[in-house]
Amino acid sequence: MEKISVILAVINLLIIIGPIANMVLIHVDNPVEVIIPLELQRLNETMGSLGETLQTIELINISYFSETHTLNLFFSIINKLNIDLKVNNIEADVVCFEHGYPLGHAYLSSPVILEPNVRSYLVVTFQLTENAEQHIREQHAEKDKIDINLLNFTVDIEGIVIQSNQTITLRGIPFASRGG
Amino acid sequence: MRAINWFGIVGGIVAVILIALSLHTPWWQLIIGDVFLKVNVSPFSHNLSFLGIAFMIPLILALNLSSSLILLIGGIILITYSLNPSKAYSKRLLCFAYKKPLYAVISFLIGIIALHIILSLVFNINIPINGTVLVNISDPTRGAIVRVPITTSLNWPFWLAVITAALCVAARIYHKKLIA
Repeated sequence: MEKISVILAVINLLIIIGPIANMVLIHVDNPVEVIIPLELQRLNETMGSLGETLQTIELINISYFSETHTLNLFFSIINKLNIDLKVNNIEADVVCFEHGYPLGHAYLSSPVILEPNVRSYLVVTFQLTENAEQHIREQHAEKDKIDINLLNFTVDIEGIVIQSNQTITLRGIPFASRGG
Repeated sequence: MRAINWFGIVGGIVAVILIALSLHTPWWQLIIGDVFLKVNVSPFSHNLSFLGIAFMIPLILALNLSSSLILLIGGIILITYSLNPSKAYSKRLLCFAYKKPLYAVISFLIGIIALHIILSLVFNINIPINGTVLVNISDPTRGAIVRVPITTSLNWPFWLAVITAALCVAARIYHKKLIA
């Protein structure tokens, strides 16, 4: 009877110690890896690269389509990570720089996959609301171009949403055919 | 007619099946963002994925292997006991085996609750055991707010483990009736 108890206790002990001892032996050159694998050790580096990626966002072109009253903002971004990144959305509230009047809401037309270390392009679109058109007709009748502010500029990467509190000013937006 | 501990047979079989099922479906899952960080955990397996890069922690892998072997042997011993519950050595087999699923459930819950407390105390992040929460992290130096959706789910293999533990405890209680 005692024999069975001893055998079961030994089995228990071997099962617990065996795999742990094996893991320690496998990682004998770098014992820290037993608790913190290389991937976790590189996490800081990866987070840093993600921050660098966000800093590469650059507005490169603006175009306005008078027929559809649509403004396209072309951004470029370089993915500094060695893996694909998905940008789900970029959005912002658009207001008149001079009067603070709300002109519409800009958003990314469709999600974009950023390939590693390649410059990718994102098109952020916004359509003037009827009230916004009226505001431009009435308040900016003498100008071909107006300045706008982007408020609540938000980037959604892989479901993590980063919202900037800073106002981004875009100058000389060509709302040329506002008079229709 | 030979006495059989049916609770023990069912409990032992389900315990062995539980190991296989837990490799496929985690007991608990944590997802940050879309799949920015994904953590799948059970006492018998775990895997982490950061932006699609999958990795495991060797120490936890060793503990997973130990847990799997302990429950596998526990399940087999419980079935062996259940077919011959009146033998002289049977009670020792039962006492060795019936606690194993219960230990798995308790140690798993301790781990999840400890993680919850650590995140709450150290990082001031309250993650639910089962549910979704939106964590706002303010970065005043960069004038930004980072919104991080965290989703956790306690999956059905956990509840199956609770049932298995209950069956094994029932087997221990039924044993007294059998030998009376």
